[in-house]
Amino acid sequence: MKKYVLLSATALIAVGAQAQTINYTALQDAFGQPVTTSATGKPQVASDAPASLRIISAADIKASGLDNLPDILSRYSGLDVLRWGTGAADVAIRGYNHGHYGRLLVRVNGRQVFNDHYAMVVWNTLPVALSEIKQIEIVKGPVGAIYGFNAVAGVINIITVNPLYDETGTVTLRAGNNDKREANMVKTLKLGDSLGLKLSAGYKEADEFQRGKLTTAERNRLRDMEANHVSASGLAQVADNIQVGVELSRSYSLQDNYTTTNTYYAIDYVARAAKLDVDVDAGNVGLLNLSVYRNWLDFNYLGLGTASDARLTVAQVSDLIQLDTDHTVKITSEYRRSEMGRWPTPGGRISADIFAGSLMWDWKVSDNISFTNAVRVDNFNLGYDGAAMTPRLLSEFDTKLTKGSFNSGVVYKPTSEDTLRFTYGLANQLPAMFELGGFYGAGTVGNPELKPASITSIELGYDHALPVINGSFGITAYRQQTKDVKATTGGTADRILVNGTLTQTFINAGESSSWGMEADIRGAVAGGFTYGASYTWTDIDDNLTINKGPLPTRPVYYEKASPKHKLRGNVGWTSGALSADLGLTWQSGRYQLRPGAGAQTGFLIPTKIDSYTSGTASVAYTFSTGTEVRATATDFLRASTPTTSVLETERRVYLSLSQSF
Amino acid sequence: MRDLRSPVRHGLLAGLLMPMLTWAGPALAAVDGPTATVAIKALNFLQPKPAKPTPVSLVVDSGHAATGDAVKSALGADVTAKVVEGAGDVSGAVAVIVIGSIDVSGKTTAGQLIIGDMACMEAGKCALAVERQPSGAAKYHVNTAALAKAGVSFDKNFQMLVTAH
Repeated sequence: MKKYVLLSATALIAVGAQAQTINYTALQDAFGQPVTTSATGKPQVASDAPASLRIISAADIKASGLDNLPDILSRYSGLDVLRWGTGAADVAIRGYNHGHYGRLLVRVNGRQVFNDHYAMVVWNTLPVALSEIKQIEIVKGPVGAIYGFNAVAGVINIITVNPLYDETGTVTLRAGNNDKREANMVKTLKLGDSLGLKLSAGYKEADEFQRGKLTTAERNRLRDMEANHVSASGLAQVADNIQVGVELSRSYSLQDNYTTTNTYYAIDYVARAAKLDVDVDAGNVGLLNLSVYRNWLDFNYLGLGTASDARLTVAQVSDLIQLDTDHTVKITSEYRRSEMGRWPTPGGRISADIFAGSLMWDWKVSDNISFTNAVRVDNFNLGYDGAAMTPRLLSEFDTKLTKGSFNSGVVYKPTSEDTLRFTYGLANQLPAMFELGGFYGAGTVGNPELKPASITSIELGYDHALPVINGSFGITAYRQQTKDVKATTGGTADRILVNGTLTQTFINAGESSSWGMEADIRGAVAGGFTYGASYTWTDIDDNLTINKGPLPTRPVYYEKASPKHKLRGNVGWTSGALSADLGLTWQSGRYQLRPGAGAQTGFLIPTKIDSYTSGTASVAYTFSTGTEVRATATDFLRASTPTTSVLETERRVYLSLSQSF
Repeated sequence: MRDLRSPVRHGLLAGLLMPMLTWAGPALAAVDGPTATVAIKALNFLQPKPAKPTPVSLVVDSGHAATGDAVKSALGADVTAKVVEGAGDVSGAVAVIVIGSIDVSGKTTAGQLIIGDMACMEAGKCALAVERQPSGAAKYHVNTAALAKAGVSFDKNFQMLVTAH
């Protein structure tokens, strides 16, 4: 009794400060399902989100045995991965994939890692080891009203462990064929109740794939992949209601990209970032967040000998307020400045200042119906400083425009096992800085008047929990339309008059629309087995103002470049210390454009990529010491699989040794 | 496309209508061990956060101590639970879990979170109830008036995830 009273007295004293940032681990443990802010900006259990949402857990990542994010993402419905080499890959949602894909916004702990300079994600430069990822949140469909420009196909939010709430320590060594070698380490450190630190570092290298149909010039430009990263972050509880977080990172990647000009270039990237977050529980005023960060990116096209740099600075203030039991709003204001040294010919600097404001309103209409609306307005101001870009006039870079984005969604839960979703989204895809102000020299220049593409989507989704198989079934159908599709420069036949001079430049090129469907089932059965299967159907119809001749001249070819069908299945098994995972994917054929030669010089040749089946397998044993030994094979069905019309994806086999500490 | 529409539509209709017609709403079962185990996870989000192990009183009807002991045995090391019969003393507990039909709202003190079944929460005699779903997910139902009356508050992120009444 005395002990009980003593404990009671201690407990009634406030010993721990409160969480202003989200404790994903504790909330998932309480609610029995993942918690996310990706769909609306407010915390929600995954089944309440008004979006087609998939959350990949740390356990899913580990069970896959895979060593990189694009391979992991390729396991999920609606996602399409084009692997260009051992280091480079483009990940798309709902079709439209190509080299330097720019429709998908990717963020790490709220920081944009999508690169504005070329509107692309360099996955190898993400300063994250897989073992530190808490969850990957995939929202399929436009979410521009929450995130602004470029969240048009969706958004992927990568959430790492929080050093104030989670404790982890892992070192991993990996080696495999193609001279693959990798080492990475993650460690969190808690200093009392009020400070958590995290350090992550890694290095990897591998020989480039060799098989495939490349020109001699392309093959001569290939380099073996090498990448590294180091990041340090800390989160401090500086007062009962205030948390301050800092993140610093540097990463490097040398990789062979298949660019928008449909050819290979070896590029080295150095990415650095610094971020500050302040989160305040302001009582009735709500949860306030101030987030300020800067990304630096240096890039060098080795085959061209041209290098430049890009910077992104973002300052955002938001307030999340629960007005009453049924209404929650989030008000956000944001300033961002994106700039880039003129490329490939130096001599100037192009910049964009964006002022944005957004409002999200979540209304819980009844116990089983919620209605969410969000609107965002972005005011875009282009700028240029430097020497003239003939034939462009400097005055043309004084471009201003205002774009609105909108998201609306109704979630209806007729029973505890059924969820019905209807959503609408309108988002805008900003042209890359390079497309607005790139300069090859007189004759090929950027287009400062290139309009953002606008993407609208309507979507109907249904999810059904299946307790009998400890799993769930879900199906989503959507209709998506893209207006003002942007088109990269074409050949001399595509030149247009710019200030009286025939010029190759970027243009808006009409419309493209698509129907699609994604269906998933997953579950677990006795004996330690888990399983999942998915089907993705994507049907794109281009209605372009370009490529009217017998062969394309501009590299836009979406309707035949996206596979119509993708089937995926996987089985997992765990028994004590032993675990295994097997995944098989079949996808239908697609086309990819390749530069013509000889009499076809100046044209782009649609090149067929046949349908194919590929498989991944992984088996692991974990010792009582926390040591895990794992063998993984990817694309193992044959020595190499033509997943693109250029470098084939070779079978990769690697052994991983991980130790927890 | 036409081939796909029909099975999709029929699947949707069957999947939607059957459960809607057969579902009877959340179960109003008394608090048992598994439910209490989920309920005490809410203590991680109390504001201010209590120290662990957190003292909890399990209040049972007189003569039903064994029921309380069964629930107590299901709780983990994050709490120190004490079974209290009838009108016993619950002072010092951060949370009071009502197992049975007894009304404890008159004997708790400010700052104590009263957890009970759905009926107790809906009647305003308890501030929090847990509805466990067949999928393994949990819903936390909070009677906001009872919560305010008890002077208890949750972390705002958690508060936005609960079902308020």
